[in-house]
Amino acid sequence: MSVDSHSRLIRRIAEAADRQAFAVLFTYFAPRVKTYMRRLGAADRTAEDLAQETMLAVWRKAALFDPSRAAASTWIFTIARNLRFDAQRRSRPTEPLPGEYDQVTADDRPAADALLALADRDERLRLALHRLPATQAKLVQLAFFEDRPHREIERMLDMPLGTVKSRLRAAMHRLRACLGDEA
Amino acid sequence: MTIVHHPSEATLIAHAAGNMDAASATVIAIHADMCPRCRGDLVLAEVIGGQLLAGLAPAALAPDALSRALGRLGAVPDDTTAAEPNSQVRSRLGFDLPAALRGYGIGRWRWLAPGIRFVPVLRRSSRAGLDDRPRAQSALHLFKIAPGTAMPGHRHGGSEFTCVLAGSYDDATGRFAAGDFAETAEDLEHRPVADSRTGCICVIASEAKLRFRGPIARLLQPVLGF
Ligand SMILES: [Zn+2]
Repeated sequence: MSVDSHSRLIRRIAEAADRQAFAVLFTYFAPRVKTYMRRLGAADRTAEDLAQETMLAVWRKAALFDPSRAAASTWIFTIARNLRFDAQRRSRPTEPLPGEYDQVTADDRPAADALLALADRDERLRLALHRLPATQAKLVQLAFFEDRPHREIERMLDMPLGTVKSRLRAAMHRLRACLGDEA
Repeated sequence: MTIVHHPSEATLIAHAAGNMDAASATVIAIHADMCPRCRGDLVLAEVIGGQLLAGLAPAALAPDALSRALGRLGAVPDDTTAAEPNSQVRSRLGFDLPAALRGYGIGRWRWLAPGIRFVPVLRRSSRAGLDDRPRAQSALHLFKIAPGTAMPGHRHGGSEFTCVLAGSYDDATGRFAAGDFAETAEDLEHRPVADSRTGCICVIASEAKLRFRGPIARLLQPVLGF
């Protein structure tokens, strides 16, 4: 399914509370959000719950979604990530009386002021990711989805931490440049 | 405000991925709120995250997952209690709390050593929390260092993230003023000194207890070695 059609489904939810559109999005994204949560170390049950909560938030916040600022996958990713962060914070003992929690980013749009907000940004980035040298692409993946990222990467790729960091810097530099070129 | 010191790309990516413990994530969020450059990198990383999410292999869901979700579509989410008004916090602490800290119940300054006060925010923990396996969770503290005061020299047993909120400090790696972010590797030994005019307020996420050097500092260990 194309990136565009996901965006359209979210618009259908916002404009017409379209349950069918929700079901289609759910079927695509909920299992992937669950995989994301599992990769970051969440227990199966927690990962399932967080996938549910993410999709319910997509339903509730659909009107905030702006397809000219972010692709559906980016928007849903940030919702999922923020929910995980919330849940993680709630599961922690805080020091003084626990204050109830406000999300770090109050709104779930990516804080997209600094970079370009073009509709095709995500597509260009997808292509750029595919064009990264294999090690850099692998590193970016691992930095995202491995628990204790730096040290795991060090161990898995048998690469000193300094090298991990400089390769990631190079990868971000390339991605930044590919967006900046045409901005 | 000119920010000189930023988190590494690796740290920003892990943060955008949601792959940081709460204490570290809070310190990074505080820096990013003050730093357009890092905000830009975080947006970039979020776009990457969206791409990677779409490319992940789907996990098996409970058989009734979709019908359960459809059944909950009308439900109103639990309201979170409003955070304490910032004006109250300001009058208690003497400075404006960054947005990322406002959700925590922040107490008052406590005396730690001459010229050093602190507020504990999150305790260190190695509980599994949400996860299958235990995961190191850094402690989070606010520090207020009086003008010209040196922290006792210490060594880190784990990584440490610091963001300066007001004033500045110097150590062997440079000068850190408001907005600056210090990412301290394991085994770095340092002795930060607060600016002689302004002093320094900072927020620190530390993975392991600090190990102090010298007999007097070691006497403080039980108090200082959070
Ligand atoms: Zn920065």
